[in-house]
Amino acid sequence: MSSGSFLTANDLRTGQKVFWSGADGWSTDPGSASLAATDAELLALQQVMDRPSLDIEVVGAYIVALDGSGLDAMSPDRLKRLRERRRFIGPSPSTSSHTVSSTDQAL
Amino acid sequence: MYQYDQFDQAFVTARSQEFRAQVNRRIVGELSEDEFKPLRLQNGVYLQLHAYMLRIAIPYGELRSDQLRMLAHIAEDYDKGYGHFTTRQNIQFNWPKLVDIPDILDKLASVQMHAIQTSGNCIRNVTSDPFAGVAADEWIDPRITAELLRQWSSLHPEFAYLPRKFKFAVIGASADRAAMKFHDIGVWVKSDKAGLPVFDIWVGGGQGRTPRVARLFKHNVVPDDLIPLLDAMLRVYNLHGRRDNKYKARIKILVDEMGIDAYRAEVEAEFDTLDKAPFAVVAREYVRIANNIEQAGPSLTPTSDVLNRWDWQDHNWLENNVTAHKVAGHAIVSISLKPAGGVPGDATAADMRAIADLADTYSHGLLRVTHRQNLVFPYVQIAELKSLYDALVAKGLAAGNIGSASDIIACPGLDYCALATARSIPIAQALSQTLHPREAKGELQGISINISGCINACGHHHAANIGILGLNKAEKENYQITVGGRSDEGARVGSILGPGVGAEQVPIVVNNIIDKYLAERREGEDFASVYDRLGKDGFKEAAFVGVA
Repeated sequence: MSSGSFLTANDLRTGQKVFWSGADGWSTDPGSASLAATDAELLALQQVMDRPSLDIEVVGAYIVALDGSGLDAMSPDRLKRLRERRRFIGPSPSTSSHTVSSTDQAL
Repeated sequence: MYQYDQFDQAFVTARSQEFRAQVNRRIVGELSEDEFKPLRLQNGVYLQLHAYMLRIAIPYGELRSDQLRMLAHIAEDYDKGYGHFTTRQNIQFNWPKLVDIPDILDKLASVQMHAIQTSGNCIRNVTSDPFAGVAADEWIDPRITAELLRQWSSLHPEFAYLPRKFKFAVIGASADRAAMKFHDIGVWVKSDKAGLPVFDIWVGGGQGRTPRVARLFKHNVVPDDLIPLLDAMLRVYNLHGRRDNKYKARIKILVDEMGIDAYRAEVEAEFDTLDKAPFAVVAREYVRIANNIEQAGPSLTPTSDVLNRWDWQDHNWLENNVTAHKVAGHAIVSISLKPAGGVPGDATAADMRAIADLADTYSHGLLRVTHRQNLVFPYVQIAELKSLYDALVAKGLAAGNIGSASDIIACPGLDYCALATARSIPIAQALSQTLHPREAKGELQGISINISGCINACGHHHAANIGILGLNKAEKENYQITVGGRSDEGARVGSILGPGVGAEQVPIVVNNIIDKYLAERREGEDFASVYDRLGKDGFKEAAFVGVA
């Protein structure tokens, strides 16, 4: 298996991206995502996806694989896919503040 | 502007109520996401990378000031304070909550707006010339035909589930300002010797992964035949268009595969079988719509006012943003939504309110959205131009770069879009920062730069003099450059210049291409003319100088 995985989706009512954080349920904070490092933990994430109530909680749930070893706090550097890194980070600051940010770094 | 009657108002109000019920059923679980998705899409609600997105229709780009104020209210109360005008003359909000959208649609319905058919495999919002009804080079006002098509295509029971989305554009002047030939069907309205409308029909244009310039289907279609002919064209497409592969489902592929002559023959056979009696209403409706638009529009009195260009210090704004009007003493004014480093097509709630107020003062409360993501005041008196300009300067809305290289089209790209493969907006921002200083020299007029964040080409990169396509190369953003495209009446697909480059190299390549054009151009030549002489190879070597 990969060096870690987490479960993400969008909240049905608000559309906000959310992350499965275990006992606390869905969270908008990616840092609180529950990381699965073992087969048992990955199975637990799969079971969340199979819950009958999932369809009235979130939309488009899927599991994202992390790159790199260890189970330290999630960071965009550990996301293999460009799309997932951008989804994790959010829009470039300059695109939503309507000002130009020189600190907006290219991925 | 066409005034909705009771039928139209009842239609948008009923649709809003219907969607509220659908959202409520979804929230409580009576509808699954699989069941709900096609319903929300038909009402313009997408699920994007970070949130829902709501796309609101602006039929053929016409807006009233009260409608723009409502959009400002929605931006402020239901979103993050801004909206994004699109290349199809619509507006998108990036952050609405699903539970709020029924309220948003109710408020839109109160000003005769809606989000119907802004998504899904149906006939989408009809687009048109943003200078319709006022352009000095216009033969026939295309808004009449566009409105006719809006009424015909809204909830058309036979065309609600086509093989793929379907886009119309209508123009009525010698110049194409609506990228008409890049639409599934383009309608070019002309006048016959008696001054009556006739229609040239073009078919099979489009962008995406298989860009095509539309082919001429038929010349001089008379008004009685227009809607039955379009019915027949859509029927043949609906029957034969591929549903097994969405990348081959657009009508351009069908026309490619059948050949234009075979497609035309089948359409004509279908046309012959149609019962024409139900279409007898069309000619009368055309006249009714024309009268409605004329009566609801401002009555302009010609004046002898002329523009004294030497009174102006900001010649760029005057030269680029002011266009000849068909009524003497008046002008068409374009308001750029492309300030240096800005987000192309974005307007804040404050911008929208300021523009609505100015539209009331200077343009009879009416404005337009362009496919290049700018706004237009169609009814400005020349005597009031300077006053309008000063007011725009005070609001920070006086960028004088319409039609210039920094007037960049950009889709939302990977910053927002679930389909995108790379970011578009930061590239546009970086480019416009480097290009704005060159605008002062007046050397960048007539150069189009368009950016798409994926091969679906919402940013019209194929149709630009300089096109930029964002791709994902081994999970890094990479940008492919094309040259030679154009979206006007001489529409052409651009050619790929060479290998893709990194984001930081895009401004270098674009400036190199512009330098090459300026070095090679002869008296009176624009970018397209220079490209005609040099071809792609003439730009290739120069473009990549300084790129590692």
